[in-house]
Amino acid sequence: MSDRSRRELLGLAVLAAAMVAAGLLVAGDYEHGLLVGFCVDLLLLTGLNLIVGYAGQVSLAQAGLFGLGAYTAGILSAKEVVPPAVAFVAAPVVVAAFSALVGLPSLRLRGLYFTMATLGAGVILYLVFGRAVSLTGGPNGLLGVPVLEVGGFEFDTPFAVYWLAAALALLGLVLARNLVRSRVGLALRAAGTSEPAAAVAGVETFRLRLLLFTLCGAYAGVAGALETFESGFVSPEPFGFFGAVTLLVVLALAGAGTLFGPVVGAALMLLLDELLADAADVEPLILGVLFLIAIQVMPQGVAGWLGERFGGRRQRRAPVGSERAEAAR
Amino acid sequence: MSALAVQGVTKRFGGVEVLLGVDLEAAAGAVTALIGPNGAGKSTLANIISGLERPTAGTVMLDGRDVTGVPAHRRVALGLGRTFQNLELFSGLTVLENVTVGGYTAGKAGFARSLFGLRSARREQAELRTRAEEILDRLGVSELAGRRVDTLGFGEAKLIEPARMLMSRPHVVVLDEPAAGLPPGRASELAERIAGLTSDGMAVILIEHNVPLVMSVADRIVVLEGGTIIADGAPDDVRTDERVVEAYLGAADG
Amino acid sequence: MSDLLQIAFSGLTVGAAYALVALGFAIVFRGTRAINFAQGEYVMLAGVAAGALNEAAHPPLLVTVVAVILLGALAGVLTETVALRLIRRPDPATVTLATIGLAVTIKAAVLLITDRASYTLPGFSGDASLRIAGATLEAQTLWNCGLVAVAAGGLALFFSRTRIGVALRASADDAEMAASTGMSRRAATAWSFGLAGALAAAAGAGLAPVSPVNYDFGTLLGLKGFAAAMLGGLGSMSGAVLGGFALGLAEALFAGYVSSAYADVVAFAVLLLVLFLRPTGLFAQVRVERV
Repeated sequence: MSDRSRRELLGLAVLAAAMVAAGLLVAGDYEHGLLVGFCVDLLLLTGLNLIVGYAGQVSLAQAGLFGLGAYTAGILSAKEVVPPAVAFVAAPVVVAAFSALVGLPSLRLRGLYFTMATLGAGVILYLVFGRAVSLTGGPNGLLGVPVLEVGGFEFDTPFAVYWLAAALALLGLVLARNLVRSRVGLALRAAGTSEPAAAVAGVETFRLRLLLFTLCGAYAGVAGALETFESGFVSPEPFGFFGAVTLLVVLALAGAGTLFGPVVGAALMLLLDELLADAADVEPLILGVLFLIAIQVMPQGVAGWLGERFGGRRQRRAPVGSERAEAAR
Repeated sequence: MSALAVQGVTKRFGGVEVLLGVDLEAAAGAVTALIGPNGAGKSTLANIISGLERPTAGTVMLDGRDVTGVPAHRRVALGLGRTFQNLELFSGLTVLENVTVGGYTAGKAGFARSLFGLRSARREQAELRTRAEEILDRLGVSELAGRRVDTLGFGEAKLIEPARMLMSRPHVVVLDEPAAGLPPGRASELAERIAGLTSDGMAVILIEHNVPLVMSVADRIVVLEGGTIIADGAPDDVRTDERVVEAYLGAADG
Repeated sequence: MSDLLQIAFSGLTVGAAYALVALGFAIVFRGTRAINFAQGEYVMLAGVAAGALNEAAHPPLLVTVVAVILLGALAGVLTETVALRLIRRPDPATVTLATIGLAVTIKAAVLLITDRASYTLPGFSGDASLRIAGATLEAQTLWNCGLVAVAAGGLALFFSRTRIGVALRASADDAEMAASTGMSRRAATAWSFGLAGALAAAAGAGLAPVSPVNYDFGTLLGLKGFAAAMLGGLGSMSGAVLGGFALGLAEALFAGYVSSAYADVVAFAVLLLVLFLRPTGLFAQVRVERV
């Protein structure tokens, strides 16, 4: 097993331990709610990271898709169409299907135009959330989401939801890692840098990206369902353009294209939310300024930057190696 | 039946005819060179053969099978490989990763199996990695494996695409100006390598500017000028063909 | 009939704003190949500044409008200095992302400074309006359309008759020529953003009399202006103007005959349709590559 692989698994183990410890040591419904929020953000960012960080396709739809998941779970359970557990599972399925639908025409577009299409889709979702009042409760939100119940067990406290959320978030990270390390993941990363080269290497770029985008939607769907069942209501506010931008900004700051970037990002969001709880209006300003600085200074984000500092031994050897290679000629 | 046959290919682009009625045949185990002045349409033809562009008219036949409508990535599994004139490397990835991607079609584990990290998928990827290491070793550059391609010198970088291409075990390859930018000494080394490919039965389509290289290694030369073929035959015949000398060889630094 | 006319008139009002914003997108795109996501926030900034200035000092309306347009131009130029100057590789994608960061920052800053206050301007001709065939045409609508005409005409002259304008246009169309025009990339970028800022400010000043402007005002407007620019063909000036009015009209029609609640969705549905069916827009200027 390679060095890097070992370090990643160690990191995941540490994360899992930390999350378990946090769950056990932290007390209070509000605090547990924050931890669930961390898991939700982690899921959102992990999904986004796959399509943005690895495949190189910037998506502005993630916040809207998050909302779609939240409302699907909320509406289906609040209107008693299906039991809450089914609503929970339906959310990622619906969002994945929607993502596939949007992805089909959108992924044929190159780069910036793909991003524009995701922007359009995301904003349309957001606008509909706020205006389909009879369905979604409009700007005031959807109330009356019942407690999630699975096989008689009720997730009636944030504490209970947290364990489910933590398990799902960790699973999400593990799956993402599997994908990235696989032949498919490598192909997607390659295609993100040169599509013609990927094509002549035999990579069916469009199909893989479509599958990835669908998966990304599934992550958002799970995140949405968790959010809904933790808080018991759904409001459209976080699902708009700025929500989408925030996710992108946080991912960029934390390190897109790295395994733990989403973790750092989710932690960053938690930190900001808490530090600025009383001055919520300052948060976007700080994020904006940080982002502007980061774009100009640290293109690979905090996690990537840390990765190079503490794990990039191969990189530092490279200049020496090239001299040797030159001498051998 | 030739390994690759281009029949009547025409490419019109925004009112401009880049290629007109081009016929070309490449036999297995032979080097078919495609030469011509800049702007003659060589790269467009390369793109059409490899599937990155669709012709306005005409067909591309691979082993007697019509692949004109087949997208580029599917031609790879049918045995087609190609390198680019302007290096198309996967920046940000290591040399080993770059080459490993070339073996993509050899893998069967799909999206789901990769996502769940099933052992079959992991084993497959490890095998591809090993194969990539072997190819790098054969080319004498295994020490470059862990380097990011962005850090390579030009000469080193030039080897990556062929290595990547060989991963898919093609039997028809299009080499687009492989000698571009190489110092004279390296060009003869390249000629040897190209000849070596054909001894394995590969059909090599060599697009080149370097006339001495072409003359030394080609079994057949096709001359493209202004989108049409003006000569097609054995090197000695083409070399003395009036039209060719006038249009190209005379002007080129031979 | 008068209903249709009334709808058309309200379509003109928003259409004019969209046209001005779209022109800004077109100019920045031509100059930098990037999308300026801060465009909507410039509009908001101008509207808020105009309203605040008017409240504080009551200068003649013309002074306020001119001041705000200059402010918009300044904001645009500062964009290049603040958000883009330090970027090592100013490729379009990075610049676009930077404008996103800038949009977030500007909006947040205004929120903090104004604390959600709303600002208005008196109509340029007061409350004057015309009755035409049973429908009311606000004088401000005419003013706003006039602003578009002046802007479009002014830009046309600028790009064809002035030295800077010609250089700007040349360097936008052809990177190789850019070097020979003597205009550095930074200057071209600063000019593009400056013009875009001025246009947005004109839109803001023209809209403040029509509806109250607060910190939240610009985002949706900017995005819709972008949709209008895409409709007309990104990079095309005439496309931007036509796209702006077309979108305004479409929105008004939808609001009038189908549903006013969902009228905002029209712009984005149009955006998606354009992207999926005809990415080059109605007046193709740049080829959009498909995978």
